[in-house]
Amino acid sequence: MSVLEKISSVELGSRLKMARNAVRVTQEEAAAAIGVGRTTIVAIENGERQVRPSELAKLAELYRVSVNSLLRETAVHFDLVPQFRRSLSAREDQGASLEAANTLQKLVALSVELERLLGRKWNAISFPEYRILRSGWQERAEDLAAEIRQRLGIGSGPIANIFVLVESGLGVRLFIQRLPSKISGVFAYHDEIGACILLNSVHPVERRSWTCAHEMAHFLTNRYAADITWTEKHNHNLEERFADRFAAAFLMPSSVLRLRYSEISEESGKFSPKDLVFLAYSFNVSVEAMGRRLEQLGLLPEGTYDSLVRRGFSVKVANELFGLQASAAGNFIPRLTWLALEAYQRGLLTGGQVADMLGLDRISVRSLAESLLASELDDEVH
Amino acid sequence: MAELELVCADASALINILGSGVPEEILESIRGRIVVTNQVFREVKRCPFEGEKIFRPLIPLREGGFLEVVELDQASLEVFISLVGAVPPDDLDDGEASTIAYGVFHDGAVVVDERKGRRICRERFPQLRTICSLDLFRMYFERCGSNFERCRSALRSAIERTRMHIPHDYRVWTEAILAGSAVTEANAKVHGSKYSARSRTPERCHPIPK
Repeated sequence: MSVLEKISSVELGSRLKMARNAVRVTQEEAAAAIGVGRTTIVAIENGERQVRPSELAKLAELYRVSVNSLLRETAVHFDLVPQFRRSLSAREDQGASLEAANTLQKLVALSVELERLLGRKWNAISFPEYRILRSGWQERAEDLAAEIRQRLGIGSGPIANIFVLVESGLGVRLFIQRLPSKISGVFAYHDEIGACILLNSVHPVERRSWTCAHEMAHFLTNRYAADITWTEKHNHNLEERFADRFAAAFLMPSSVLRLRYSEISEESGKFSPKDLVFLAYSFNVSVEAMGRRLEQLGLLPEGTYDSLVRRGFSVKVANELFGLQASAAGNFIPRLTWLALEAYQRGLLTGGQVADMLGLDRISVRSLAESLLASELDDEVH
Repeated sequence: MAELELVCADASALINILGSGVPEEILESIRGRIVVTNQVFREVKRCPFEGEKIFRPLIPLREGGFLEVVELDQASLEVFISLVGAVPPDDLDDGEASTIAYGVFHDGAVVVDERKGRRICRERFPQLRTICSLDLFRMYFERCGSNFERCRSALRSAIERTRMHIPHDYRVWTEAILAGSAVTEANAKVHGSKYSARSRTPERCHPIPK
């Protein structure tokens, strides 16, 4: 029995449909590519007609996926995109939203597939869901941040690497990949898969840290509503404001920040822009985030940060003058990469499959394997 | 090993050849017909390689007749589907699967570097002649050996620019060449190394076709 006879036509049809929708190809376009009528595509996608090898190869090319990814037995195909209905319908920029949702879905599916291939289990950690009340929501966000810090056993100091913390401490599947620049992050939750956060690799590490903390709040307060976080504030409803306040409180706890602010101010007699930059770096957050947090806590007058910027204050220039380096908080290798490299090392995946899964080119996969696996890649040739 | 009349290269091999900086010379030294499947050509051509200097010769190689891009026929397609759709971990990516499928039906040698791909070749198509990128480089050295420095620089370039993996069986030879040994000297080192006493002996490497 051939592979195409063995695989369920309904399953393969559904995978083809998802792949077509992901690249927004119409059924008519797909039909034209393989020289059949639209009704044949409908029949293939409904599992009523078996796709032929030549048709499958052409459709995979059109949908920009590998035939291997469509047929792989361990491949996980589930649809997270409908959960983004609210985000997709709320904004004009549906293209970027759909791209982000599809990227998260692909990464989560690959992650689950690799776990199955390697016989690994994902240790999802049970966290209760907290309700947001309209009255006193700011204090509630501060309290929740403190509570989560306590549960994670991290005290109230600066967080060295929030990505590792979120992945291992909260059991969230975390991915960092290129997204449309106007999108900072994506969050979704699935009962079988757990919480998933995708951060934009194009953004600076401080912004990614902030987004990560922001998405954490969605996980803790309203996990069944998938969310896309935009760089510009749109539809700033209570949930979004709560998530921002939580992020600020989680990354910059008020008790420690007040203490550090007082120490600096007392030592130098005043709190200058250089102190602001220094404080931001010590908490692994952006200067803007630190400035606004100090305003939020009443340590700086409201509008101070905007006023500094208007007067020509530049973070970039300040960094150069102080000789400050980018923070090390970006040193994070997502678990997906580890799993893929382990499968490669064990000869369960080829370099081409790893490249396809991680969205990398082969040379990058070779470099990763060379540096992370070193001599363990020794192999027999003949 | 007889003269290679048809060589079907996987994406990994094609990348290594391009990384050498002298792809035309390497392909010419093979003498037989060199083909890559449409799947392999697409993989190497597509982003993020586009714009990379080392990949620029790809289209001219095809246009200049150094490299032929082939489509899988019906019979090859069946084998291709059976390889990409095999039960993991016996499934392959599209590039390797198409290369092997083409080689099986056209009586060619396939250039496959990956450990997994080579294992599947051995198990499913024991008659299929399977070589690796380093075999192509060794042919190049044999046939263009008069310009040793140029050959050596091509090998170094492939290792440095495209991170060409040196399989265990070829380490002694490669190290000898990079250290400046002549080809005959490097071959002698392979046969004289303590490594040859082990099961994965260089004797089992394909001899260079004359």
